[in-house]
Amino acid sequence: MWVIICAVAAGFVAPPTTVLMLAGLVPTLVALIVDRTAERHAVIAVGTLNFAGVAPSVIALWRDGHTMDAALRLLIDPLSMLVMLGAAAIGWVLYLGVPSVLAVFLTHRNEAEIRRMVARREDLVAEWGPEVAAKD
Amino acid sequence: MAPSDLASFLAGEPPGPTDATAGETAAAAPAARPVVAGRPAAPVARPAASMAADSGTVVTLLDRYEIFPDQPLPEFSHAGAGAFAARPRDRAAGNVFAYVGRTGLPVRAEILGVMGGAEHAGLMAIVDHGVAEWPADRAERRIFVCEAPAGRLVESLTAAQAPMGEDQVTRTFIRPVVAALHELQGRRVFHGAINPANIFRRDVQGNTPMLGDCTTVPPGFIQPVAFETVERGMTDAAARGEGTPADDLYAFGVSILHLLLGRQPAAETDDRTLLAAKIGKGSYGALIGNTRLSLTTMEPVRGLLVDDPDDRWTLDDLELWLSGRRLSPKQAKPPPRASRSIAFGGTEHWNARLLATALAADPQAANTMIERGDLDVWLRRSLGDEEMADRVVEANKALFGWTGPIEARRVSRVVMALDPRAPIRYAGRSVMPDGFGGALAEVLASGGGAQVLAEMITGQLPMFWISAQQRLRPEFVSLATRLDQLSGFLRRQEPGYGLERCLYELNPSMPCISPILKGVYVVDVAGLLGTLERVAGDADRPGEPIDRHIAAFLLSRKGAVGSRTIEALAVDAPAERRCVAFVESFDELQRKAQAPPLPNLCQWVASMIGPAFERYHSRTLRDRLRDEIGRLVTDGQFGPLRGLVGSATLIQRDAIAFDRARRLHVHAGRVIALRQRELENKAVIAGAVGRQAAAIIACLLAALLLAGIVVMQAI
Repeated sequence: MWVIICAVAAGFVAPPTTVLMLAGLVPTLVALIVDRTAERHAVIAVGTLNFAGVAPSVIALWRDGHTMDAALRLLIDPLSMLVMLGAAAIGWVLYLGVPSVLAVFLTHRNEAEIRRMVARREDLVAEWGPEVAAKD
Repeated sequence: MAPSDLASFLAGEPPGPTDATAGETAAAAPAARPVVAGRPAAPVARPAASMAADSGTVVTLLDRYEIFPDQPLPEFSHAGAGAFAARPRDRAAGNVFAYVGRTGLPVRAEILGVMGGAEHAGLMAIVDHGVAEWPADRAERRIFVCEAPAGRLVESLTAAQAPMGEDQVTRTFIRPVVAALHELQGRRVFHGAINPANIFRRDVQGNTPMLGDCTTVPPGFIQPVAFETVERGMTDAAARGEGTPADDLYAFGVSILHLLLGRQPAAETDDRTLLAAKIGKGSYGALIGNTRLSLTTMEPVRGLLVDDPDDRWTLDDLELWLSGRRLSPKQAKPPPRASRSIAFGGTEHWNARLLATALAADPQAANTMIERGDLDVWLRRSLGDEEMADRVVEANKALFGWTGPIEARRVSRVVMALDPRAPIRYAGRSVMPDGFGGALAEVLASGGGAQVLAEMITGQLPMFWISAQQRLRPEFVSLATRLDQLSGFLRRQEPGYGLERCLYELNPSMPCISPILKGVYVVDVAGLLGTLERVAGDADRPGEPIDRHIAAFLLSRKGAVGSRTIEALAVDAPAERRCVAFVESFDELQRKAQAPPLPNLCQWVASMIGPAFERYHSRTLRDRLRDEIGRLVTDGQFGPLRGLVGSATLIQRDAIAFDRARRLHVHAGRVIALRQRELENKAVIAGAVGRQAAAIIACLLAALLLAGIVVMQAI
């Protein structure tokens, strides 16, 4: 709700910027709709990078006179779109890829730790006998 | 073990000392065994063939004497020891022969020193004594080398011979024996074996008699009932205890009578009947029967055979009589006779002493009579002895004891109340309070059960006997203390206590009869360690070097080893504590006895101390200790061994390290559990953490990008 109110308010104040950003931040809006978790990690990951991708176009718009034509030119400029959407895509990749990478990492780390501890316990039993494993 | 068991000890030995055909004679006629102290010897137990193997064997004692096992001297043997020909290596030492004691029975060590120094013509001198292996059974025996007499005073107690004239008896027997008895009294020695079969001729003429052996067996053990007082005669042979000079004089009186009669007095009468006659008619009346003595000789005989020791003739009375004074001995006082008899066991009894003897012989019926109250009624109404009746009532109360049937204890106490001077009679055994040592030695040495004796002690029967005495003697105090101590020993089950402890406490000269020692005669700690060292080298050594006998033997030798150390050897003690106790025991023994290195014994004990390593948790430490002990045992010293297996510091350090290891083990377990939980939930964890991480990474990247754009625009 606040996003819509802010967007409408911004549309009255600076229509070219608002159009450019609304068009450039579509992936973030999608993330906002898709990510229903409390933490909104997808929104954060996609949104921050998406915003960073839109920022050069916004700066270029402001530098080129801040007109609706300039805004539309930028919107149809493939490079600008690539930067905006590419940054958002990186956000999505991060959001979807890091947990998998982390799972693999955790598996390796925990299995190694378990092997080390099992070996230690075997050494202890060998030196002190099975009574070392007795419960108090 | 009856005295006649000597036959098995002598089994198969040829009877003649020098006759080359004697062995054949013995084999052909075993009935011709020596008859000792009026008792026929038991049949030969060992085949003659086994003795043939012993022919020619010479036993060397103390490197000074040669003893010839194939040359027995039956004329000098008695039920407690066999006599054998012997020869001193130093020819100047005179004629000697050897007494070879029976294994198991304690010698009278307390008088050995005194008798060894006695150089009286009327006493057989003990020239030397020691221990040597006896070839007949390969067991060690205590051997006494004594001066050899010219012959025996009488052929045997049972054989009739020509009576000696009064003058001859006085001159060649009474006078010299009185001198010998003076010597004994001066040395405070009770002989306990005075009878014509144990009195020898010093010379061929036979004018000088000498009293024979009294050291090889407990006092009174070889004495026939006829030569004992009523009280000692009632007692089991080994349990008669230490007698008094008055008891020796009684035996002397019977011996005089024997020589005057030319036969053993009342020889045809069995022991029980003879004792009943002695009680009923007095000893003099019972022994002399219908024989008439002259007034002159009747005086000493009657005086010496007075049953009350306070009225009995003393040596001074005999001296006076020998010097010509005529004394009139007190007449024997028969026991008080009841106005009406009491029937028991099919016999009518008229006095309390004979009734007591009958009651003791049949405890079951006696208990019934006591419970019925017949005895109390008879004592008060017929015998008229209120005091005795009260004593019987008292005896029937407070039946202390924790073993054995209460009925048997009741009968025993009542019997003591009826006849206080008689021995303690219980379940078929008759024991004087100071005779428990001999009784225990006899029973345990023969492998018999000593439960009855234990029941007597724990039932406090000796204490009751002491309290029942009408004339208290000073020695009763120490006796009561000793018996109380024994009762305490019997209550304890740990090694070092029980009947075995009582045995060695009561018989300080008793050799240790543990089967571990394989028949070696061990009387001190140094000997024990030496013997165990030899046994340890045998392939067939037993499992453990200390059993109940050895434990009790050690604790009875004051200061040899601590009682707590020995108590820790209990079979139900923890195994690791037990084997450390073995090491500690031998360390103490070796140190205190200043014994030489004992490598075999060390190795034996080391082979048992596996469980001691269980006290250490560390396997590495255990292996190192094993290696170290394997190196130490060759030195034969228990001290370093004890230092290793019993080191408190090492145990403490091991325990601390073990505790740390346990904590490490627990920690490792927790880590494993944690990691396993993480693996099981890795999708959830990775999702949550990964998405958060992705957001953070994205923020960082965005910040970097924005910073780059700002910088680019600024440029």
